Amino acid sequence: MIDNALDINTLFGPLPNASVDLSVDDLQELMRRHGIAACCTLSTIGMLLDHNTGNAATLAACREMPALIPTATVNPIAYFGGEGPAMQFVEDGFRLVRFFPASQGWPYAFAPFRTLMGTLASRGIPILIHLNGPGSATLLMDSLTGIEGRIVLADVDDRQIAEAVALMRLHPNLFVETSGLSAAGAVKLLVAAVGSERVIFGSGAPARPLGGALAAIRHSGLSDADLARIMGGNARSLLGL
Amino acid sequence: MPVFDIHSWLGGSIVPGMAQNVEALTSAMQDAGIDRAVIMSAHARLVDPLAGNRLAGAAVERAPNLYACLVGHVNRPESSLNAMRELMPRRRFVALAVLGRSWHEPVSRAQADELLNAYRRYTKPIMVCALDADGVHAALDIARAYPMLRVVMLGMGGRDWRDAVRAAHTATNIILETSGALECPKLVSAVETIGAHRIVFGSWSPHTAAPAAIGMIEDAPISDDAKRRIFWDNAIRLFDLESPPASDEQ
Repeated sequence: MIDNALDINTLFGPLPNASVDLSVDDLQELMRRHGIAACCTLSTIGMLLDHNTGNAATLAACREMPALIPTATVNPIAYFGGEGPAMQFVEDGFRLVRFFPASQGWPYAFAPFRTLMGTLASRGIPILIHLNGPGSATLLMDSLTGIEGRIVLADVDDRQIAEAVALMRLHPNLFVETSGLSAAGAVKLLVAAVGSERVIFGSGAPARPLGGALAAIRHSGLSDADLARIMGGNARSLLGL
Repeated sequence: MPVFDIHSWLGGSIVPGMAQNVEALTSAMQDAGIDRAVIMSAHARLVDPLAGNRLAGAAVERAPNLYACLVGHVNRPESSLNAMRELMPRRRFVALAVLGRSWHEPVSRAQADELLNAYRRYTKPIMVCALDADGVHAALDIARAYPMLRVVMLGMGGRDWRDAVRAAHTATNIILETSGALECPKLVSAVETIGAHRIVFGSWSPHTAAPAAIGMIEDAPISDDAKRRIFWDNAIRLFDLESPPASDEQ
């Protein structure tokens, strides 16, 4: 469908809550089957158990497979300050850092997260953060006042488009990832409001079916130029690829 | 492979213009490769059952590939019963959805009794919403109380789809509809546990774009025969329709 498609939101490893596990090999096969050229990915161990172990597993997998773009994660509950993680991420070649506040049980207004965000922003590392229903994006951006990092909002659904649009108009460094935008017309509505430059394809695989995520974009009624941006151009620009 | 979407809404989208009339619905169906669909009226669910179901009735009269599911609201029994008497005898109304105040508030058997007792004569299936374990258990309760009715579980239990599969294993008059959580493993589990003959495809569009819902079925590691049953055969049998439509259906 689109050459050079890039999926910014994938995981590999065990995922009990989604009743699905996905090995790195399975992820590669899924990408091949659906024509995805590259994806940002991380080990579920980093999300579920321990970010240091998970980040090491992510790096090991991505070193072997160039189509996988290493994504780090940090659980702010276990972050005790300092520049260490951000420096290490740059050194290790991580392109993106993901945060999972709802599944890890920490609030958006959370001092360790804010501190960490400051260090990541100062080193130009973009982040992708999962939202948890209407109001969460507003809380997030309120909690990050004064920090100018590039932020990708994930799990934005049709109930949160208006909120995302309002925030994106205030914050030029804010982007939206598409995995939650499964409602008919949602992607097109968002593009009409903020432009295709601010929308980035993500599938949420393996918890969500990659084929379904692609079909939703393919049938969104957008122009080829918009699709090319969403399906890879914007992500490559964000990640510095 | 032909596709029959048994769960599509007329109106109710946050996105302006989406699914607001027959033209928008059929255009979206065509784009997604859907051959037939059962529609429900958001107006009937949110405002007034009689007026809303009349809108659905008018819509299906204009599109031969659309059928209607009458929406009954347990808090509006009188209007729902009037709609049932007026519209349910029509061939193009193929089912009754028994709904309550919100998607996540299960409709209990006691709440549904008034509508279901009046509905039994039509011998058509009913649809109940089950987006979590509580919804599944409420639906199971209804299925056990009305063994003569086929009970379609809309949303398949959401993230609690294991409960839905177990419920369908327990009560053979339960049919699972595939919307809810976009997760392929639920299809594998359901096919293995109850067989593909009791699973029907529903998108819950426009809440979920139909192509995304179709993509989930296509991605699932189940046989092509199972997919064909889910996408088409089971709906034709459930609603006692001809394939392709008989002239009196049109």
